[in-house]
Amino acid sequence: MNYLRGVWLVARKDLLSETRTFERLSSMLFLALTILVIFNFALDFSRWQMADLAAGVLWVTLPLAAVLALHDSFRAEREDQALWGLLLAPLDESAIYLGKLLSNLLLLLILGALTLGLSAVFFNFNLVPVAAGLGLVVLLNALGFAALGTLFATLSSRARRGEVLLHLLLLPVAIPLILAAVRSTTPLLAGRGLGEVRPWLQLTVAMDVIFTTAGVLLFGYLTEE
Amino acid sequence: MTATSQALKLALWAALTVLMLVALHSVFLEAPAERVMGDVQRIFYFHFPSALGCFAAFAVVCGAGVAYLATRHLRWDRLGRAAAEVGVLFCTIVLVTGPIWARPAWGVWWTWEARLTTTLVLWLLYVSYLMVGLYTDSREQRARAAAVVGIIGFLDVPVVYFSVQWWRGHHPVIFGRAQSGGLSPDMWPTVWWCLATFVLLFVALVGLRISIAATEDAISDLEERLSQRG
Repeated sequence: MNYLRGVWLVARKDLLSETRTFERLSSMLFLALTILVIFNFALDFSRWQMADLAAGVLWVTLPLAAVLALHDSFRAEREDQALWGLLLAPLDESAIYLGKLLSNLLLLLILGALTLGLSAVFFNFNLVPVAAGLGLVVLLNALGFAALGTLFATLSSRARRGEVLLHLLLLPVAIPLILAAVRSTTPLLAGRGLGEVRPWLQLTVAMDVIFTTAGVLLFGYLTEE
Repeated sequence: MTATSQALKLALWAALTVLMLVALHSVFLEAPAERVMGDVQRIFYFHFPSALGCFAAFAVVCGAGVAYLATRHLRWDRLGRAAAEVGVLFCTIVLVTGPIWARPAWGVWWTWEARLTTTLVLWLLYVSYLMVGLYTDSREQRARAAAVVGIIGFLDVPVVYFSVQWWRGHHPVIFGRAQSGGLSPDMWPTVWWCLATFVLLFVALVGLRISIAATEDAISDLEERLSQRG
């Protein structure tokens, strides 16, 4: 079987089962919305400069909500030993990893788009002129997050209280990703161009490459029985 | 345990005891008081070697992880975990001695300066590595998971370092004015004594931790065999 087709089939399987219930997407969005509301009370959005606050709030909300969805990406595979079936398929292990990564990435992008829209409403800023830049930031960071998250979710899905473990593992490693995301979002929201945040985007691309490569190489070790 | 390894161990701990006394003498009685900071600067002799030890420990964790995945010998897993525990200990010493020094020197306990921030994130990373062990049951599973987390954590270290440097907008200063760059020449012997002591302390603690882990593994092997019989 063609490698890329294998990747796509794994991703399609995940997305298809997600569209049957929208379980992961809805819980993730609900959590994001709740965190935004709590932030409103904690920081009082009306009294601050939007650009200073929004970036920080956005990049606390998104990773926390993302962890929720990432943990569930392997839960279904553990039930009834579905992962065995997947591993027995004539696919390279790394294709399974990349397929999972792709479906997780798409979920995170939907989360990112909807959360951006929500915060535009809550923070009262015009999303249209900054949409392209912010979209790029969300895309690059979601990729790094999905790469790490897919790998660690494989690991945490077989641990006791795996969801707690995933938080403990993923968030510290993702600190540079979050830092880069905040640093690129703040100037963009203040109306400055992409050129200004280029070093941060380059750093994010570097992290994406490092984490995805590491994921491809290490995933196989985590699926062994 | 053979008699030679027993003797070797005894020699190691004896040497460590002697070195510690020499280093303490050197720190408190031989090294000159710093002109501006006074006696408070002496904490540097504990701070700096711990920092080096903690970085070295985390390199060992990564190396042991790679070696475990390549060979599947639990010996490497025990080395990785031992090094991580001692690394976290040293990192904690760095994070505690730093603020004790910073309070009189800078006027604040903590500042989000690049090196401090990096060290704190490093500490978080390796505590999370140790957490893996608490959440997994089977030994092989835990060893594989820990190896993967150790490798990813180590890959993360340079990224953390660079992002934090840029965030603070400073050019990296490896040996800043506040640290060894400002040391007067007659402080260096003390630094070397302390470095030697901490290297030996590191080796001794990791060795001790490995032998405890080996005993733990042997006990759980015995338990498994007993339960199979019963």
